[in-house]
Amino acid sequence: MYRYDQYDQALVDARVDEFRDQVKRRLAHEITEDQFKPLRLMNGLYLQLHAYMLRVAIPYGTLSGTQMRILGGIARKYDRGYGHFTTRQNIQYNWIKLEQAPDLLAELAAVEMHAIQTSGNCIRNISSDQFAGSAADEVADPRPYAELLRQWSSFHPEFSFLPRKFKIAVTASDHDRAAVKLHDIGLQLHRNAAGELGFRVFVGGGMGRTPFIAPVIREFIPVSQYLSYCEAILRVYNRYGRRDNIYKARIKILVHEIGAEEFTRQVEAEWALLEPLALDAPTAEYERIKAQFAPPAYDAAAPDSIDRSDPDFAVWVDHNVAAHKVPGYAIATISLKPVGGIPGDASAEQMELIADLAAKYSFDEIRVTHSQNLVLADVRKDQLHALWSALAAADLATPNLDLVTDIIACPGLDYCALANARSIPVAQSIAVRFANLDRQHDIGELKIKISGCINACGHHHAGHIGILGVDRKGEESYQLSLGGSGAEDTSLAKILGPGFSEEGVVDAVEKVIEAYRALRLNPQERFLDAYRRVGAEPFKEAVYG
Amino acid sequence: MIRLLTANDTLTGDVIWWSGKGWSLNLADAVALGAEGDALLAEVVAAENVNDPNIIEAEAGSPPRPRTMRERIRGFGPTVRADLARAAAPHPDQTKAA
Ligand code: HEM
Ligand code: SF4
Repeated sequence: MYRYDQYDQALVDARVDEFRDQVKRRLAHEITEDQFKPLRLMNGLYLQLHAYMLRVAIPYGTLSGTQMRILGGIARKYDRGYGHFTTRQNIQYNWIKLEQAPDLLAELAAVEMHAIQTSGNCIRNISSDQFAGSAADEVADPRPYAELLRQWSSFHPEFSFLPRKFKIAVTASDHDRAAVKLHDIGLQLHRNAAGELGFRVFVGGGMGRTPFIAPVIREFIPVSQYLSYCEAILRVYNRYGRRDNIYKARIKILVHEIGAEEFTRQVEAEWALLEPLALDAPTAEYERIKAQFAPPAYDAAAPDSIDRSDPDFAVWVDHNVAAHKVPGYAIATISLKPVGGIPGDASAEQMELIADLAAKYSFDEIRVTHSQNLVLADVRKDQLHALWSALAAADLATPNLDLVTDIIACPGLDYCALANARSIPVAQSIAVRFANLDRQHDIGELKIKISGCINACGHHHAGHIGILGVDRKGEESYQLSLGGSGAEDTSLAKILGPGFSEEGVVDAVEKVIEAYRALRLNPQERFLDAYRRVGAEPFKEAVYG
Repeated sequence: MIRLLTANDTLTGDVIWWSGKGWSLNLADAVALGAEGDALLAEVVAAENVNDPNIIEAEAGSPPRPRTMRERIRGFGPTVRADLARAAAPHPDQTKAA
C-alpha cells in the first residue's frame, strides 16, 4: 500500500501543530466559538449530541494492520472503547474531548493518518472498491489512481471552498462495489477498443434530499489525463455551482439544471484550456505510486481448494468469501453486523484482533467497505479456516454478507445532531426478527439501508429496501422505500406509502419480504429483480392491505 | 412543562445542564427556569463559554423528563448502549438489545 513520502508527512505533522495551537487559543478564550468552529471542522471534529465526534479519513478504505491497531488504541484511550465504520469507508469516534484532540491527531499522524478534509465544502476522502487489487473481475488496480486523486485533492487551493462538499469514487470492475453513480464524480476504469486504460466519467450523482443517478459525461479519458479532466469538472462546478442555496449547491443540481449535455460541453471547453498546461502527473510519478501497490508476495504453490468439511465454516465461505484474481487466494469479508449489534461498530479489542489477523493472514492490510464491513483481501485458501475460527471467537464471523441482516445504518438520533429518528434500533429489530440463518439464506440477497434523516448517510435511496427516519409531530416515524440499488444496476428506491412507527416498520419489512417469497419466480430471483418485474403494487397490497 | 437550560461543555463536549449555580453533568440537577430564562440564555450565548446553549422543555420530575426523544437521548445517553447511560436514573427509552 501507499506509504507517505516526506511531503505527505510534513503536511500532516504541520496540521497537527497548527490545530494544537488553535485548540490552545480556544481554551484560553483568545478566539470565539464562531471563529473556532470552522477550524475544528477542517480537522474532522464535529459537535454531536453527546460529545465531539471525530471523523478519521481512511483513503479508499485501505488500512495497514498497524493503522488498525492504532485506531483500536485510540478507541480505548480517547473514546469509550469503540468506533463506527461508515458508508464513506471512514471511522468515526463518538466521545472525543476537545482538549485531547491534538494528542489524538498526533497519534494518527505517526501512522500516516489524519482527519483533514473529512468535513467542509472541499473534496472529501476518495472512496473505492474494497476488493481493489484483488478482485477477480477488475481490469486493473484502481488504487494508484485513487491515491493520485488523494494527493491532487489534498489542500488543493482552488477547491478548498467549493459551493458544497465533493465526493469522488473510483472502481475498476463492471460489478460496482463503490456506488460510483451516486457520487459527485464516479470514475470507472476500463479498456477501450485499442486495449488502453482509461476512465468512464460519471458526474452529478448523489443522495441526500435530492437524489440523482450520475450520467456519463465521457466514455473514455486516458489514465494519463484523468487528473486534468477532473480539474476541469471541478472548475466548472466551482464557477457555476449554486452558492446561493445550500440545498441546491451540490454538483448534481448544476448538472441537472443545465443538463448533462451542456455540462459536458462546458467541461470539454474548460479542459481544452487546461490540457496544454500539463497539469497531469508525469509518467514517473504514476510509476512511483503504482510501484507502491505492487502485488504482495503471493505463494504460487498455495493450494487452490478449500476444505469445506466443517459445515459452519462452509456457510461462511459461501456468503462472506469472494473470488480472488490469484489462484490459491480468496477475499474474506468480516461482518460488523452480528445479529442485534450496532451496524459498523467495532470495539477496540476487535480492531486490535483484526489488525493481528491481517498481519498473520493477509499481508498486513485491511479494507473498509461502504456497507460498513471490513475485508481481508489476500487470504490463502488453506488458511481461511484458521482465520474464520479466530473471527468466530470474537463475534466477527456472522455469515450474512448482502443478506437481510447485513443492514447499513447511519448513527441516527442516538448520536447525530441532525437526526429526526433513530436508525440503529430499527436495524437491530429487523436483524433480530430475521435472525434465523436458514430464513436469511432462503430470502437471499437483500440490502436494507437506513438513514435517520434526509441527508441519506445510510444510503436509504440505494436500498433494495430503504428506510428513512422522519419527524412526525415530534414523534419518530419511518418511511419505507423499495427498489433502490447502489450497484452497477443503480436505481433510486421509491416510497411505498404512509410511514410507520418503529415497530410498525419492522412488521412492514416482514410483510414485504413474505410477499416477495410468495411471488418470486424461483429462489434465485432476487428481491430487487422481483420488485422490478412486478412493481410496487403487490407490496403495497401486502403492507397496507 | 418546565423549561431547562442545556449546552455542551466546550472542553469535553459533554452535555451539561444549568443547575441554578452553575453547570452540571447530571440532568437530575437541572433547575426549572422562571421568567429569567431567556435573559440567562442570551447571557450564556454572548459569553461563548459553552457550546450550543439552548432552552428545552421537560416534564418536571427527578430527573426531569425532556419532551423530545432528542433531548432525552442527550440527557440519558444513546438508547442502544445501556453501558453508556449518563444519568443515575434508568433510561426511559433504552432498547431491549441495549
Ligand atoms: C454524525 C455526523 C454526520 C453529519 C453531521 C452528516 C452530515 C451530512 C449531510 C448534511 C449530508 C447531506 C449533504 C448534501 O446532501 O449536500 C450528508 C450526506 C452523506 N453522508 Fe453524512 N453526516 C454524518 C455522518 C455520516 C456517517 C456516519 C456516514 C456514514 C455512515 C455519512 C455518510 C454520508 C453519505 C454517504 C452521504 C450521502 C451522499 C451524498 O450525497 O453526499 N455521514 N451527511
Ligand atoms: S442521515 Fe441524518 S441522522 Fe443519519 S448520520 Fe446523516 S445526518 Fe445524521
